Amino acid sequence: MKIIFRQILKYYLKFLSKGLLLIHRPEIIVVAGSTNKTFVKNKIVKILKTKNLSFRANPRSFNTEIGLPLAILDLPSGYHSYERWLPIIFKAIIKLFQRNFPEYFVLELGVAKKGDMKYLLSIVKPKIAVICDLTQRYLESFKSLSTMKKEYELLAECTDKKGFLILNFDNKSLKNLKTPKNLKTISFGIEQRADFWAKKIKKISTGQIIKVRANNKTKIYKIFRFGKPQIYVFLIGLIIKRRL
Amino acid sequence: MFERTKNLRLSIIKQIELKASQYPNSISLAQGIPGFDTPGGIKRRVELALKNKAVAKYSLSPGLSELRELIALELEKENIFVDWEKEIIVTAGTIEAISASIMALTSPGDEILIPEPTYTSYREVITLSGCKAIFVPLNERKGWAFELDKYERAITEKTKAIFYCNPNNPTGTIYSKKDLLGLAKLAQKHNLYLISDEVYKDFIFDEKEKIFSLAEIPELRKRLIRIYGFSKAYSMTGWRIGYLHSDSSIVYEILKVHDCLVTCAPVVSQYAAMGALEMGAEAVKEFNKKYGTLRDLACKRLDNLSHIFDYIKPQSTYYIFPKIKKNSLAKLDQQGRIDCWDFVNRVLEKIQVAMVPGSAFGPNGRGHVRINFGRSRKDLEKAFDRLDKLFQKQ
Repeated sequence: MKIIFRQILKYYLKFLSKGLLLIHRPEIIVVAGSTNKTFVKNKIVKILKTKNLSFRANPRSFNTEIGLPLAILDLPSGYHSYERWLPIIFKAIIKLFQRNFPEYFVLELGVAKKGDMKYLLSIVKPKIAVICDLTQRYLESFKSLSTMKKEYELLAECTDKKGFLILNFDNKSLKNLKTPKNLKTISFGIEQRADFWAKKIKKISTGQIIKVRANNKTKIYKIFRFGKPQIYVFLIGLIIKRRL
Repeated sequence: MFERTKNLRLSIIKQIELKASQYPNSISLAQGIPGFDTPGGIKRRVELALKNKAVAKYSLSPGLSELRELIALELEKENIFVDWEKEIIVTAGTIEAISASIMALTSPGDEILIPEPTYTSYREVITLSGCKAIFVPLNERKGWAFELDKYERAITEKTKAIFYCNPNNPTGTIYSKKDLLGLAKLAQKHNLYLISDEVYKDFIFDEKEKIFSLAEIPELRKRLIRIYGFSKAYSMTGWRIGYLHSDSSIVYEILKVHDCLVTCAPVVSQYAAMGALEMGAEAVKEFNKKYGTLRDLACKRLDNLSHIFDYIKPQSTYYIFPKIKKNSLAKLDQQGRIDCWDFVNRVLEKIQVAMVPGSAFGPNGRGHVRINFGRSRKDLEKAFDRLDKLFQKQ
């Protein structure tokens, strides 16, 4: 019963969320990869806020086959309760007629097994795609890292060619990711030379001081966060900020 | 023989629990167990991990990277910023975090200051590490607040750290920001570490938004180790899962001890912790509401026993720490103070209600009892009915 309900729900929500996106056509920014997604999504949201752009982002963990459409429709989850799902199912239709639709969607894509990316990309077509990292995390559900890599190659393939792809060049698998020739790719990194390259990192009591080399210019920044993942978040933020 | 363990005591709370279990009709308000089961969402997260065959192997010693990342995200909400790769260790409950921290920071013979009354096992862990616990009394008249001058006086050249629990078990006190900053200043002045056990930080009643932590001050990060456990807020005492965070230079050293003690926290419980962070917020809110009601109920029932107990209304935790007034059941000790051990034993024998004697929490706890009001409403009401009957006004 549960399995049947889940399948019906999955396709019902997919159908409605696709319809909603088709009507309003917002710009979609997706954040994918094994780590750092929520931090990056939060950073992008912050940038959109400072630029006074309207947006909708998926809440934490709303990044899978059920969660993603719920985030698009701006609905909560009923989790494991049929009772809680009932009003959500009705509200989903009403959402099709909503006004004041946001200009941007910032969506995390959660890929835990083979085929997940294909399904999620059957709902959204990203204008900007960020791939934060590719690690052993969730590897138990894939045959190998190269199978997992294929999921992200599909993301590159499906990204709008008028948009761009942001890639972590410190990650060997991502540096060698097969991307379409007509898709602009912007890289970031610390260990490897990249389009946005952070160097000479100094830890201070309140955060980190970094030198960033981009577009043949070097600039010093102070960030109030700690660790390498947060430098990546900052670099992705710089890229997005300049492009929006 | 047994040089290391001869001065250790077995937990008084567990001794009481054991004694209470000998009475078939006993109601225990002793052990710090929450009255709820682990929320369903957390269990389902674990089921999924089991189904995915993800729990049979060790994790990295500091814990699953996805869990550490989730912890860092959670900490950001509390205005605390850490490098999740290098500054968090997932531990087998808070007691392992405390043990590993103390072992890493101290040398045998060092002294650690602890405000008291406070959680009973701190003393044992400090003793096990070859250090000495120096009790610094809290001021009951000021609502169990710190008195900084007492700390200043207690500091010697052997003092290595100040170790406190905020909110405090057993008094339910939330230390004020001013007092905590004063403590931090003292630690800076005397080059001491601060160990902050914040396992009850989520127990927020009275519409307070959040509890201030010294970990919010980045300048203190090389001095402070903050410890948290999922046991209390998420009703997960049996899962034995918690974490600590500090500056990477300190965490690197603690990690060596953690690796020796447990290799890694139980992976199945790490998935449960992920479930707690992903889906547990609503349950915590719900529990807090219920604990708030139970606290008010316990206070109301204690008001009816005002000829036996005096109490300070707890601001947090699920404990209340009333003072025993002189009465027919309370025997006096040699110093003329109420013998709370004797009182607790007599209450248990007469009406089969188990409480913890206040002296278990340090010398300043003498003459008090700790009551866990976080049990079921039915048990709490029943226990107080029995107390009412026992202490009926003549």
